[in-house]
Amino acid sequence: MRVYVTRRGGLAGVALHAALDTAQLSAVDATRAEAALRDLPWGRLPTQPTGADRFRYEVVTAEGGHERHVELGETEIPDTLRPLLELLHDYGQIRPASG
Amino acid sequence: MTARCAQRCILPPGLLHRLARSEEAALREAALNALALDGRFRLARAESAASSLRLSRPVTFARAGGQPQRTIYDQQGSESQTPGAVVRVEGQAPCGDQAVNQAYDGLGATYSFYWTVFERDSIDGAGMPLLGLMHYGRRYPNAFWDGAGHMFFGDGDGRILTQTAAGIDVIGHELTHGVTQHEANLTYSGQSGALNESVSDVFGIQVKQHALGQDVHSSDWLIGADIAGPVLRPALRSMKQPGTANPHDDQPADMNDYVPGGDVHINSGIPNRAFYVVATTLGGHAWDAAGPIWYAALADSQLRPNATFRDFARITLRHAQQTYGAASDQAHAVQQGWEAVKVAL
Ligand SMILES: [Zn+2]
Repeated sequence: MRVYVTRRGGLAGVALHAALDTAQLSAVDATRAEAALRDLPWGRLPTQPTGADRFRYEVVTAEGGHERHVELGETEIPDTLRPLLELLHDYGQIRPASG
Repeated sequence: MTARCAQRCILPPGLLHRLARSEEAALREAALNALALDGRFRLARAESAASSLRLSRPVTFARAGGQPQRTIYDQQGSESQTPGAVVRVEGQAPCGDQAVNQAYDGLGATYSFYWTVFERDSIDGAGMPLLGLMHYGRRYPNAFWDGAGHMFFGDGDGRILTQTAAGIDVIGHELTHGVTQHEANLTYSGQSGALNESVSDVFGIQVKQHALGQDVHSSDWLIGADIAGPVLRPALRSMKQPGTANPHDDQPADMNDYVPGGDVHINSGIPNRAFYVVATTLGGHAWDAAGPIWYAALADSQLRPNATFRDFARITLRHAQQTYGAASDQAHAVQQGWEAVKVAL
């Protein structure tokens, strides 16, 4: 499953973006990640973050030509999506935060 | 304290305190502002809390103040939101963990800055314990304030950021988020969010200048110079020249380049530069006049959670005029600062 992930916020204020595919994960991690992705609160309005300088993640999928979008606070990320975020960590490109 | 009050109070403090508890909102607000102005910030805080104008806070008259209460925890790489093992408490000698000692010292320097300059006793003005949670997450390139009394510090990914506790301005920045939450509680989006971020940089850089004994000309006015990783070197932000701190820095330097819907860390460059202009126009130390004017504005009951840059600018000008005089150098410098970033007063 193709997934576009952007991390925003944080003290440094730079965005990190990657176009990822669950196929980049091990078979076990990919199955779990796809299940977690299906259960995300797609289309939900962004929540007001508590505190300051926390990361937020924007997740976009385009399964079957139907684009879905959600913004999550870092504490809302399910553990089964962590391997995907590791990929963002490793392959993400820095983007201007104003973009 | 009494001598200072005699110079600045037009009305006797007892009357102001009675007015501060007045039922009439306008009268109460005017009295509270006058109280905030006389410099006895801590007492005024307690009185205003008693009048329940802003969020209520514990009134601890018994506490003498002047001493931080630090506790440093080791999160051991987990992303748990609750404190882990205690590794250093107030008064203990340094341990073998550099990040722990840096946080302990940085929190101490930040406490000391707020106490010596503003007589503010910690985050809430009432001696709130300072809790630093170290080694949060794995290769976590960030530090944050959780809104519930905890400052978390990541070790950095070695690419964007290195060990985040190494920056004394960063520690001052995070603790100041707590101060802002207890004062204006600026909403973390749009202009109020960018103001929230700017206030943290404004006091974060002063904590660093205060600890290093720097005046406005010897400071580099860079935020995060000690924690920027290879791709963000030499620093995260420049208060002097927003947008030039590193190759990815796209902070605007004035309202002409304001980014609608931009991250709160982007548009904060505008009020950051206003403060830089005010402080350097006046010379000396940033906390001689510029810092106290900003602090009085942050603590002003008229600063609303949804404040715009202009709202904040006007409150800083009013404090500069009331405290130093309408035709004072300080009032002129504040006008110049906001003019430089094209915020209309
Ligand atoms: Zn911040």
